[in-house]
Amino acid sequence: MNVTLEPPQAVTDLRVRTFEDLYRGSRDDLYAYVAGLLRDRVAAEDVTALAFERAYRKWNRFDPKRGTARGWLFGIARNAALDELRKRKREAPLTHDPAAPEPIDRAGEDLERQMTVTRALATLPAAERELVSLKFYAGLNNKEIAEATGISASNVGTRIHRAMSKLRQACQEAEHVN
Amino acid sequence: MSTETNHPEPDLSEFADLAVALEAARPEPTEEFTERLDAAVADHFPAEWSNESWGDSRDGFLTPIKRWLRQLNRHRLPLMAGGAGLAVVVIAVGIGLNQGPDEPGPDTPTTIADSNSGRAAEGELFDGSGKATEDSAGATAGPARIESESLAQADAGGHFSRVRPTSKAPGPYAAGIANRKVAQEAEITLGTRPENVQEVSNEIVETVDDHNGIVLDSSVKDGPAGEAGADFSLMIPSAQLESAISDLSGIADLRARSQETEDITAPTLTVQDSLRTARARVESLVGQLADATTDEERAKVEDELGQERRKVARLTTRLNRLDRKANLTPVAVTVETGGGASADQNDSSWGITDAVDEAGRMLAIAAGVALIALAVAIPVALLVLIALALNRAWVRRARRRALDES
Repeated sequence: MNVTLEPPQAVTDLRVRTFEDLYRGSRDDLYAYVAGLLRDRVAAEDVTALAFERAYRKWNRFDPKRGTARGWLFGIARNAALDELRKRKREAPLTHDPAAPEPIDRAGEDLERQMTVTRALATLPAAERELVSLKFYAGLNNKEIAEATGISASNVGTRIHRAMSKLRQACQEAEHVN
Repeated sequence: MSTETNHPEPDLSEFADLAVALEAARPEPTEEFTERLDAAVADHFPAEWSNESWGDSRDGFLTPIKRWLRQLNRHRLPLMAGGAGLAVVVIAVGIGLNQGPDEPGPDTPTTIADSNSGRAAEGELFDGSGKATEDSAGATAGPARIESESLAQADAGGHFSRVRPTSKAPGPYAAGIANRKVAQEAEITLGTRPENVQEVSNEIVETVDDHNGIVLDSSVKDGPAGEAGADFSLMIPSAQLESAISDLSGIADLRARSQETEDITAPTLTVQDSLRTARARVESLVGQLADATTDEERAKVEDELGQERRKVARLTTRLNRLDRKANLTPVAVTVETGGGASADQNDSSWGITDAVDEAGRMLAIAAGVALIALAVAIPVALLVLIALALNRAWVRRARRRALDES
């Protein structure tokens, strides 16, 4: 299989001129990241919508000199997602997530492998799950991840490597159990 | 894999299989959701959108306030804020005008435009007969002395002149005494042009006649500005003092006015008591004289009777003097020329200089009000900034903890 680590639907050199450009280029990526972090489809929709609305309201305050539009947008989404985590923790901690995103059965792909990876991802701490989501679900490069999370760009790479190692180990353990 | 020019990304090729699996497992939004979101973006997130199910999950302690503000119409909010600010400024200026430099205080004069109210205040002290009313008895009791000074630069109508009422400590005898005796004195300084001195003097005399007063002494002097002038020593019935002073003040440019009030109730009562006692003693002595049987006894009583009668006469004179002091008020009127800006102008005119003075005064008041507003607003703004900073820090910390603990 032709393997590429180019993030799916990556828009690495997005020249955003309008909010609509940003929205069109980031909608699904943003949802994927939020869903991966929250593991809840309904909450992910809420947070995604809220993030775009906030970004729209603040669009005239966005300064391209301070970073990329995607980094800025994902920062807004991250704050909203973390607030959702806080609220969820206060109200009723989820021990089981009935609405967790299920892998999509794409033609020619191994469904079992996808489910294993999804379950393994769920075992990672939220901070690492977030980085993996940003990298592989949302397709952000390290600079954009750094902008969104406030972690230094060099540190982002190290942390992602560590998270992927843990993910692999979790996958292997899951396969071993099965 | 893609790399950034400034931030070379670490080699993740060893996780290629995982990356493929993750890509395949990537969550995708439902069509229903994307359609709704697309519509909201196309409509620029209308107000109804915010009120729908997408709640604001960020909840710092200022979140309820922020939600409330967001619910306000975005266009109305600046108008409301502007209106509220304007109202505050108007109220502050209003308060400043009423309580600013014109407010009676230890060092702050009031306008005579307010001198009507000053008179009203004096009206509380004196009824129409010039006697103190009962309500004011407590304030003017005993050997109390009330002064009201005025410093004026005013037009003939008495506007814009200053009155400074000052009150000395009230005495202990007032309560319950209805017929108070009050002695007053007044001084008025008028300004006019040299050629008008005679005319003003005539008007002063006419005014005194109108109020049944007496001109005790007068002198009128011609000459250039500064030398020409007139002096009057008047006696005005106390009952008509206020109206007489008001009329006199309106004859020419009122430059200064002062009034002194002295409560003479206590000495009057003392003299009356002494007189009553002396008269009773006289009657008693007259009885004793009739009953006297010897010459020696009669001579002794007559001698004592003489002393008591002299005492009665002396006390009667004192009482008459006190009554006269209460019923007639000496008023000194001085007419001067030169020295006042308004003296060079028509006596009753309100000129450009007055306008400039008034504008300056208004500006000073406005500046004072603005300063007070700033003195209030700056600490409040600092508190708000501190609260915002604390809220921000608190939210950040809570988010970090939420991520770590999930």
